[in-house]
Amino acid sequence: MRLRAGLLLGLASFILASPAHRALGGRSPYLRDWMLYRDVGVGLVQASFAVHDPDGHTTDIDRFTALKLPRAAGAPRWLTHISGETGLHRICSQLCAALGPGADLRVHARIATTAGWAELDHGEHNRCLPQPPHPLRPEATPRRLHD
Amino acid sequence: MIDLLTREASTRSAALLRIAVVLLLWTRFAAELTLVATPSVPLSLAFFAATACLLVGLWTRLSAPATALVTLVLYFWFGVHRGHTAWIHHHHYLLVSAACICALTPCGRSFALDRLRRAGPERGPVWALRLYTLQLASVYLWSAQAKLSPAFLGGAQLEHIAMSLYFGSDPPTWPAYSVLTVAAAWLVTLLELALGLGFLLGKTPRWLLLAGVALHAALYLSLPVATFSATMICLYLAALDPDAVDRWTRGEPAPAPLSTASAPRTDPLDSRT
Repeated sequence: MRLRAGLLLGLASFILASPAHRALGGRSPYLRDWMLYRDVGVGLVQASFAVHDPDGHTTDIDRFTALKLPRAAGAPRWLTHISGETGLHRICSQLCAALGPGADLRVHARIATTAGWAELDHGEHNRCLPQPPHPLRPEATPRRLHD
Repeated sequence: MIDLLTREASTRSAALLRIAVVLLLWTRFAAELTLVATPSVPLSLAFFAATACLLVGLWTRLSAPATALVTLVLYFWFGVHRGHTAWIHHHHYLLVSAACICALTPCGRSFALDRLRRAGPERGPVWALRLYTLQLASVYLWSAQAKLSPAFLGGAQLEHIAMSLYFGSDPPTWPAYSVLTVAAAWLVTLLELALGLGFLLGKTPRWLLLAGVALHAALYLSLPVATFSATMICLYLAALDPDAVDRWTRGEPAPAPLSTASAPRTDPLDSRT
């Protein structure tokens, strides 16, 4: 009877309380958390692209069409799932090359972070010119399994 | 507490859970523990020997703790300590936990070869079944706690998941999509809180269990959750009255209620006490 009571209380306490360790910021890999699917999609970028004409008009462009790459099955993953600022920069570079010299490419983009969406670009800069430095966003990098 | 520790009831729930846990362990680990794929031949031999005996209910007092020990070695030694990270996800831990709790139940007294050697009433102490439901409560409550943030309740994290799995960087642009993700986020969080409190307090009415099954069915269809959904649904069995499950497995009608106030539980899907 005492053994049963001890086992029940001890195991029940461990089952219910041990996830608090990681919820409070602990990092021991030996204690499990239940933050299910917490970082899936973190780092993905949602972006729209447009070209500014010299006369001030703006024309939206489709990145698949502009790069002459398929949209559905067979599309490269770096194009369908824009990953981080590096992935966005890669696509902008290819679009600028495809649009030709003197193109004025504007981007509206946001990135998935652990705290929700964060704005990346409001279309203020010509992406075909050298870019101002962007601060690194640690919250836009998926945490490792036991971070 | 005393009632819980001393109560004896049908062991059929524990036995069904024993069989389910082994089948889930095989579903998840067997292919990676065949001799051509295993990181350790002794581990594989111990895994298959222990779980095979447990499945058919042979020497369960030995095979159940052996299975628990093997799963602990799988998770903590090979997974955490030696860095085989493919074995240390949430669904693995849940299976390890279920295997450990199984070792504390009288799971060999029903649907088992052990009964051929030692016939007796299919009754035993069922206090350890409560640990299954506390494990369910822990999963739901801590999962809901992690969702209590503007990032999740505002729908952003569900949008991220949908982008990663379905839409890529081009999610739907129709306005209802945002409304849908916010509604889904609130629905999932509230349901997890209700399930967590229900299992914690031992009060899980039929509608709540069915809602939980629907939640896990939807998760299984839409996300790569491996054995997680199936394990959670199987563990719901521990929340049902063991004697009602017993009657159901025998195809016996439920006893007629003596009066409204003292009606015994007749519905195996209603664990209110």
